[in-house]
Formats: sequence, C-alpha cells, structure tokens
Amino acid sequence: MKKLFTFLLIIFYLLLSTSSTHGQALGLSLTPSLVEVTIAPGKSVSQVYQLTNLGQGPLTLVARVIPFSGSDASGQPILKPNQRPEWLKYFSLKNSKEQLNEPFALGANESRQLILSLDIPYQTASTDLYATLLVSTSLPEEGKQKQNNTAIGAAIGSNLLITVSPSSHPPALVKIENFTPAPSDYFFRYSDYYFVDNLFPIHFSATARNVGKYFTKTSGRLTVNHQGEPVWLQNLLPLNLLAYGSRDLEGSPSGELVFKPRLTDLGSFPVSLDIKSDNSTSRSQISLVLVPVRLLAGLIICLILLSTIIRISRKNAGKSKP
Amino acid sequence: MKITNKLHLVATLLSLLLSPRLALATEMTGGDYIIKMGTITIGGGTKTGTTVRLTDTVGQTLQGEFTGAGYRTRIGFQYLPTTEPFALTISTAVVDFGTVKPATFAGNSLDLTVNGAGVHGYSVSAIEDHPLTAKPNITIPDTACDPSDKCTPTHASPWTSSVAYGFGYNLIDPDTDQTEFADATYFRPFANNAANQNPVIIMSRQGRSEKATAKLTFRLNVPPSQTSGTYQNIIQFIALPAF
Repeated sequence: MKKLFTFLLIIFYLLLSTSSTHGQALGLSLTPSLVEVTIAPGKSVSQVYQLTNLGQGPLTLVARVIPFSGSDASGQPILKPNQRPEWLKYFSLKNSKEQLNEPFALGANESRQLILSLDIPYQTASTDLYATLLVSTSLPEEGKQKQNNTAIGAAIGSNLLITVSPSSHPPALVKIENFTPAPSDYFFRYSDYYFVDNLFPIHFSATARNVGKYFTKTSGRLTVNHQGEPVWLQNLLPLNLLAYGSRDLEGSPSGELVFKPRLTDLGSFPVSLDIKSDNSTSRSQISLVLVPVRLLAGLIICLILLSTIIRISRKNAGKSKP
Repeated sequence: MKITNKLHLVATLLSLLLSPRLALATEMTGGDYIIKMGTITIGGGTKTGTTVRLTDTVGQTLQGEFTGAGYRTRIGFQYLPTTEPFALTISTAVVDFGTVKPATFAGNSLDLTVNGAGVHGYSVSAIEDHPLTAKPNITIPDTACDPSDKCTPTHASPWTSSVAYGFGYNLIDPDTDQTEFADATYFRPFANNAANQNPVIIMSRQGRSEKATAKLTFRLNVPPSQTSGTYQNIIQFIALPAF
C-alpha cells in the first residue's frame, strides 16, 4: 500500500512538472544579425552563427534560409517564405548533426554554433542574393492539451546580403532624392530656398536610391555652411542599399537628420548632403534662410502690450486729474 | 638555493622572450587573405580573401571586414556595434484561455521582448496557423470587432460589444503602432496562414534599439451557439533585424 502511494505520488509529481513546462518562457538569440558577402563564382565562404536557447526548457528548432526580395524604406526585409529559388541550394550547414530544414534539439540556456556555408557554382551569373537565416521553434502538435489555448512559436532571423561578382568591388551608383526640411519646420519655400525660424531645430528627410544592380553600403555627411565656412556637421549612419532599392537616410547617432541653429544664426545657410559608396558619390544641396520670426513676433506682441498698458495708464492718469 | 632561484628567473624570462607573442594584433595576414578587425574578442569589420568579401556587425565572435581569395565579407554593424546579440523572448509558450463562457470576454496576455536589435532597428511579425479550431473542424472565427468599424489583420478598431464574437489581440508599447491600438479597447485579428495571408508586423523600430518590450493581450468571445470543445491554434512570432 505504501509502495503504491509512493508510486502514485511520483506519477502525480511527474504529471505536474510536465504540465508546468508548457507555460515557460520562450527565447532565442542569433548572432551575427547581418552578414554581407561579395563572392566570385566558383568560390565558397562559411560563416559561424551563435544560436542560444534563452528559455527555461529544451526546444526543437529548424534552421532555414528564406529569400527576401527587398525591404521597406527603413531596411526591414520582406520575407518570401513561399518562394524556392534555385540558388537556395547554394546554402548548407557544415555542422555534423544540424542540417538546414531538419529539426534539431537545443537544451535550456544552451548555445550552439551553426556553420552556414555558401558555395557558388562556377557558371553563376553576376547577381545579388538576399536571404535570411531563420531559426524557428518546431511548432507543437495540436490537440494534446485539454484547455482552450494558443501555442506560441518563436523565430529569429539574421540577414544575408550577397553579391556574386568576379570583382570584389562591383560598380555602384547611388543618388540622393527628396532632400528637404520637414514641412513643419519651414514657413515657406521659394525654389531651393526654405525660410525657417532660428529658434527651433530644423529636421531634414532624404532618400538614398541605388540605381545599380548590386547592393552597396553608403555613408556620408550633412553639412551646413555660412559665409563659406561649415557651421554644422552631422555624419550619416552607414546604410545598406539593395540593388534598385531606396532607403531613408539617417543621421548619427539618433537617426534624426537635424540642424540646431544658434540664436545668432541669421541669413542664408546652404545645406549640403553628401553620400558615398565604394565607387560612387552623390550630393544634394538646398538653402535655409534663417529668420527670427517667433522672436520678432514675441517682441512685437510685447511692444503692443506695453504701448497699450502705457496708453491706458495715461488715460487713467488724465481722468484722475481734476 | 639562491642560485636555483636565479636560474629559474633567467629561465622564465628566456621562455617569455622566446615564446610566441600573445595574439593581440588587429591584423592577421596569410598566404591569400588578410583579416582586419575592429575588435578581436567580440566585434565588427570586413573579411577578405582572394575571392570573397564578408562583413558582419552584431556581437558575434568576430566582426569586421575580411578579405580572402575570391571573397570579401563584412559582418555586423561595424560602425555602431550592439552590446548584446539579437534576441526575442516571449513570456510564455502556451496561452491558456480556460473555460470560456458565451458572450463574455475571456483573455490572457504575454510579454514580447527584443534585445540587441542594432543600429537600424528591428521588426516582430505574427501569424496564426489557422483560427482557433476544435475537432472535428469547428472554428471560433477571427474577430471583426464591433460592427460599426470592422477590424482586419492590418487595422485595429474598438471591440466592446459582448455580442461581437471572435478571437483577436491588443498591443501596448511605444514600439507598436499606437495610431492603430489607440487604447485597450482596440483589437484586430491575427494574419491567418490558412487563408494565405502574410505575417503582419506588430512591433518595430527604425533606428537603434537595445531593448523593447510589448504586452500583447488576447481576447476571445463566443456566442451561446458555439459548440463546446477544446479550441486551439498556434501563433508564431518572427523577429528580424533591419539592415
């Protein structure tokens, strides 16, 4: 009887401990999150990724290479999981156990290196290949739970930007488009002259467009000049521009492209935006006319108020005289 | 004894001088490749061989540009590396709804956390495999919210009527679209893989992001005519770094 009770107690404990695992946190990390490769046909290259299970329980994972065709203006890749281009077979895992598209186990808080190999056949034409190495939890089997529930799956990606070309620096052509101050930051515009208030920061927006057939990385600088001398410099965050793609330019370090004038900054301030890639440059220029509009408006209002007060007080003084 | 000590000292000095130097250099050269790295232990840069170029950027063991025979690689965000690897954490692996009473909102929530997204930001998208389904093939449809303003996988709207049935979610976090989820009464359904819909971005940031958290609240409401059963589905959250 005592043995039976102990047995039942063990079974009960096991059941409880099993059911409690399903509510545990789920977590994955994958690094590096970006790999850029320029590779000649007939060559191979491997990259080691560090994959970590951040959860409290073991996971069954699947690693896949998913193509993406482009990105939005902020560089978020748009995955195409249902596309199966021929070049996906250029990728493989060089691990002894783990293979692409095959499940493998990873214990709680365990890390594993995935060695992704890219083998480009000799006859491959020069082109760009964009893909994401996506590691996802193997989705649980439905119907095993006794409750109404939603099971959660997690997937994490790392982007691959690949140029297949015999040249290590294939030609690139970048252009700046739509360089302008934010509409809320200027009063009116005449040609390329923007009339702005010198009391507040002036934010800019601009787009970099890659008109070449290979992805390229751009960097650059925003320069504000006055009387031929630079008075404001801001570096741009380096951007990856996909072939025929465009991205919003971002200033370093906050992401904002901004000029903060001083109170004494008045008159014409030419603003130039320069970007460069491996073998291409582009420049766009506009002019700001800094006017102390709000300061003048405040002064005028103060003067009007002051003169009104003086006038009223004079009238009152006149009335009070006998 | 003293002579022995002196001999030991001389031997130690000699061995230190003659032994290979510690590998602290930031440039390594070989027959057909050069590796230049911003940091040796954890870092970024460009790797090149006689045929390859490679560049990586976020918290990997080697970041930088590496050049070899026929390749050049750049790894990570060399100029502004992150301190942590890119990671997605979800507070629970299963969201239970318990026993659901008809015409009464049921629900539960989970927390999504993204770390180490790097200099250009990240996105998290979500998709369900199918609406909540019980055997043999009875479903609780995805919510359309209140009839006055129907919600879709890309448009949230108020869901306050207890006679509006279905399954949906609300999100609260600065990195979620607060113009969509104006307050806790705004919901929308998940994108449905069974209906050939694409995952929908539920959380994102443009620009540097070290850590972001969002609370996702599920809501479920069924009519009195709903067949009793155990309804289940799977929702996948996909975290992608921007480049």
